[in-house]
Amino acid sequence: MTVASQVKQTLAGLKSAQASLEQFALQTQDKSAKKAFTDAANQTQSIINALQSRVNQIEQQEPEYKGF
Amino acid sequence: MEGAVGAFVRSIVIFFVLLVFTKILGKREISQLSFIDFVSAITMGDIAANLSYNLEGEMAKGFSSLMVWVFLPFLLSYLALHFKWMRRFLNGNAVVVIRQGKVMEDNLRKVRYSIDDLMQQLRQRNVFHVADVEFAVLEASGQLTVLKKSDMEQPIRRDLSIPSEIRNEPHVVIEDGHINHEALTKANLDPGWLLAELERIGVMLSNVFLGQVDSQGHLYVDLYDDNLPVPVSTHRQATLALLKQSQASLELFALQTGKVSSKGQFERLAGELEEVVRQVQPFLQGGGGG
Repeated sequence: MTVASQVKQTLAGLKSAQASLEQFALQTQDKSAKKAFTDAANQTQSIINALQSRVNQIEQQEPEYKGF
Repeated sequence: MEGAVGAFVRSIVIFFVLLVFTKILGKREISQLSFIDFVSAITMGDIAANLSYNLEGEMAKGFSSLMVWVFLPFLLSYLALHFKWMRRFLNGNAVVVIRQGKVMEDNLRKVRYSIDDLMQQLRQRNVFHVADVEFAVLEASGQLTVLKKSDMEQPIRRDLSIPSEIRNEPHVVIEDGHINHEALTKANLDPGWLLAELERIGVMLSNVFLGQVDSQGHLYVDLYDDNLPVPVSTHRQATLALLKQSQASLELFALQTGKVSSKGQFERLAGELEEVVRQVQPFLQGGGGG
């Protein structure tokens, strides 16, 4: 497995976890838990964004990875 | 016949007289009565009983006697309320029986407490080793109050740095295979969420005898068939595992990549994700489903 596809896999996992965190934030009535989940979801989203741009970069620089 | 009517009338009068007297003497639980209170109460009852059916006796004589037994306890409790020495005299002092794990033998003797009495009282407070006790007081009421040594106390959440959570009452959202919409609304949830949760753990609504959701959003279900293992949603644990796995992957990328700039970015992202994991870990661990 190439690095690019590994990064993509991690990206997919993070997206799933981020969605779950948002769901937990909605479900819980506990304010401190809600805040922790919301903060974590936001921060995970920014990590996802950074990772996504990294993937785009890799694909532009090394087109042979595209599609993996 | 005349006697019966007399006894009837007397009894009614005395009943209400006693009612008034007990109101005057005030509110005290029976178990907290001092010995003298106890004796007075019995005597009052005896006099009243005598008055109510013993028609030979004079009413006036009985009443004057009754007055004394009401007045004196009232006087004593009044004095006890206003003077410390009276309080001490009537109720006695609290006596220290254990200090720093050492039994105060002299004090025990003063209150006529045997070792067996002491050990029994300690055991009733769930203390089996005298050495665990920092301080024990035999209260005036006769009860033993125990302060355990700090290293023998149970830790509370704050001691373990577990974040506090607001625990509202759990709601029973499924009863007998039917959704309780009222409870679901109170829990700020909707039927769609409930059905999705059931689908996640692979259970049909009609198989659920009881479903309860807590303020954290955990759903607990009890099935009709007690032999079936209750499926537990591992959504929260799975999410935590996914986050940790991603974090490890990012660290791995940082090690694998040749470019210095990429290395720095992956390391930074791994660090940020580690922070996220640290933040949500307490809320994702444990707990039932979710």
